[in-house]
Amino acid sequence: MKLKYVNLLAVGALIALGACNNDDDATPMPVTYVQEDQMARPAINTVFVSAGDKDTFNGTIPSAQNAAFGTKFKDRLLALNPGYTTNLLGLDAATFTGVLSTDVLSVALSGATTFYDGTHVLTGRKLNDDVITVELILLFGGPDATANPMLTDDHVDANDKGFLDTFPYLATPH
Amino acid sequence: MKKKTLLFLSLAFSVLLILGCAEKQEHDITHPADYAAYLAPRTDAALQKCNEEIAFWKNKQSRTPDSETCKLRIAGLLSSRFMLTGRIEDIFASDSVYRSVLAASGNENASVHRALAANAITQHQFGEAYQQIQKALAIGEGKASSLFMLTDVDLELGDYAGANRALNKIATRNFFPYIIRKAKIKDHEGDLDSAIVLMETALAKAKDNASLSLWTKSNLADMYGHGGRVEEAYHLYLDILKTNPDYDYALKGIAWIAFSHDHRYAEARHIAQYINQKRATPDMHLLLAKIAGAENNMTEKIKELRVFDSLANSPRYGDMYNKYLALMQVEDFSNPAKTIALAKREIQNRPTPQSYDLLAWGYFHEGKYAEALEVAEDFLVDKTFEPDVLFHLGMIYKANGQTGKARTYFRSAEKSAFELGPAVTQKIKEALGNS
Repeated sequence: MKLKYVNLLAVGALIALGACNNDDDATPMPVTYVQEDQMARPAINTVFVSAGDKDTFNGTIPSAQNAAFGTKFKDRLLALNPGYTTNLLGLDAATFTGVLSTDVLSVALSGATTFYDGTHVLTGRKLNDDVITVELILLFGGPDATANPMLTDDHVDANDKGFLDTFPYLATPH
Repeated sequence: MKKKTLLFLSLAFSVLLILGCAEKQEHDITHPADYAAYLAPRTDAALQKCNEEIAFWKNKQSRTPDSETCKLRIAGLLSSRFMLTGRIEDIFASDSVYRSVLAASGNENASVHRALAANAITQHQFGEAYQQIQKALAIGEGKASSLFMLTDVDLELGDYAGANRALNKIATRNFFPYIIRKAKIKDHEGDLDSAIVLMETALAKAKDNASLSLWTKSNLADMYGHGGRVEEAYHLYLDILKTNPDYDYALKGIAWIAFSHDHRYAEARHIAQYINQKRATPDMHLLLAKIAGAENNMTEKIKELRVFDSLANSPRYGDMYNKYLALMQVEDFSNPAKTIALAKREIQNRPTPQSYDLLAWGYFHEGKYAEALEVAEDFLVDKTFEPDVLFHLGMIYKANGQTGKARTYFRSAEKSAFELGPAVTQKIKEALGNS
């Protein structure tokens, strides 16, 4: 008898794991949840985490990410940009990768919400923020954003379709 | 005292008679009114949606030709469309898109290797599937998904220890992809009851996912059929069609019940012809040939077999139909030499008990009973519990003068009369009568 092949990736990312095979109906089944995936800053996980570390990184809670991956992030940064000194935020390699390896989206509870608007940095993220260019500037642009000009702009300045003013705010599929 | 005994005996006899009648008058399971609606020509909604999605991504790709996202979406949709239409060219196109993505990414993309492995499995290129999975495992990303697919490939290759090893590396077990593979392994080990319980558990877990749920139901329905629970199988197939009237696999299941259980050949042919005009795949012609054979219409049977032979031998299907071509050569065209050649090729591709069975069955028909027995005892006995193999084992033991063993195998195979179909069941009955 043949089972047709099924695409396993169709199954949701966060899974419930019933850890107990106890047949005793009186005992409530303990349930353990396992973190399977996480996402925060665009492209950071993609660029800084090697394929072999992906599963582990995705299963690590943010508070433990720096300890587990900080050094690897720093090595990767210096491999990508051997000339790195500090960046627009004034962060040296160890400090900057410490920030990056804790892969969360930070948000300021008051003031402007932006990935970077020239004044505010990482106070949130708006749909039309040019996040990849900002990240490239922080990685390659040096202390005043002028280093490596060929590498600091992805030249995608806006979405190719306008965002909506109301929920869900994203552009319709096109 | 004597009277009482007589009364008891006659009562017992009546009960036996009634039981005997009940068994003889086993009712038909299929009713055309249940499924007639699904045989009417209509737009295939799933296919239409798939075509729309392909058009959407192709349009997007025309504006962003290098987009990996577009390519991956298109490749995946082409594979899905093959499942809907049976047009093998879609798999070839899907493969080539995946390969272009790999070339652009320097081969460092585990999920693309897994997708290529899935396409290879579809085409019965199991060695290639194994290579792709090894590449995905070496890259590391999505290890659980790779191990699940390694389990599938190992099962196809006949490496059952390897399949168990791969599945045992999975820590999370109360989880759909684990459970369906455990079911597969149990089924392979001949423990159909456990396999069914596992598949029912998987179905409960898949209830919120329409396509997984249909897939699980179709596999569960097959298992019910193999376990003799034909009525349950039928209702599950109907249930599938209620959700998706274009799920031809379920119609095929119903056609088999009409053929093998109800012996309503005209109805079975009606369904098979409907599926055949929708999907241009070779396999329906095999069923049509079996139906013609059951009706003793040998001209029609040979005609259908020749159509199957010419379609299935097309190079575009590669090794996909080797097993059925091999069986046909020996059983219908008295050409065991060709069967043996195909069997050897199949053993090269996948050294499973089923492949060795073809070899033994070829030797058997060549009159090389000792060779057949040697293959059987080395590769089949206690290594598979598929009913067609059990029947072949019975015939091989019988030819070698070991009638006791032969009867045991015939009796085991006889329990799967529904799965084997009327012609083979008749042969088993004759063999049991003669031995």
